[in-house]
Amino acid sequence: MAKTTVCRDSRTGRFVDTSSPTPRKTHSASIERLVEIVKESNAIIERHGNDPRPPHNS
Amino acid sequence: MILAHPITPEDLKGQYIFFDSDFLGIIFSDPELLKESITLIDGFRVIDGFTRLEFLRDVWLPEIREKKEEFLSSDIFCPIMEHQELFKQIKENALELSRLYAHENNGGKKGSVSTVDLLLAGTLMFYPNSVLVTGNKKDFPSCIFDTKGVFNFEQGDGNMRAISLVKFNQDKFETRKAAYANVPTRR
Repeated sequence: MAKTTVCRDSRTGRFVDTSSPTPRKTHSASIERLVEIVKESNAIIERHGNDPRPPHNS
Repeated sequence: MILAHPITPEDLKGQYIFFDSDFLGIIFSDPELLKESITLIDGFRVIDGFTRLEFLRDVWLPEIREKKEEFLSSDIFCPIMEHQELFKQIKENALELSRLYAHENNGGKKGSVSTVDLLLAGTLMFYPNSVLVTGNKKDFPSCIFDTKGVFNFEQGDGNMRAISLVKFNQDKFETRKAAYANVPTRR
């Protein structure tokens, strides 16, 4: 799996990014699963409300 | 100023594409927008630790928390390195940027940019090959950041909302830093 690459610059002692990220192929199945997650989340909110805590009776 | 340049694959080539929590929140609630925007913003997408924290915080329902965690663990996002030494530098970057924002925008008053957005700005400053997808352009001011592209979408209430692709500009940073160094001190 692609990762960031960070090295220490021996001259300055600071860390620098040395990688050159390349676009990755996104599988349509991954996007479809994300869409399903969002739909499931929306259905949960529809059922419960976003924050179903009862109001304080003060 | 009118910005009409749409986001293109050229804007994203060879870049880490950071998402901010505002944009994540938008696509987490709209399946259609999610699908279209993820297809448009294709490349090395990353979620940094600060954004992850902001996206997952204050969730009341355990089921929603689980969905959000599953969302972030998708393989459409690439891992980003986290290390104490990097955090130290990013923190220094964020602090320096906050001073420049204060000088540039509001005469030294405490700024409105959140700590998480400052740290995210410091992260963009650390990674030269990086852009950020954000719905809150004002948190990444034009005195330091360039807007490389924009796309619009229609919200549920019918209003249009702009999503920006911003990039840290080293030259602008150096210019503002030099100006900050010349601020006269009162004795």
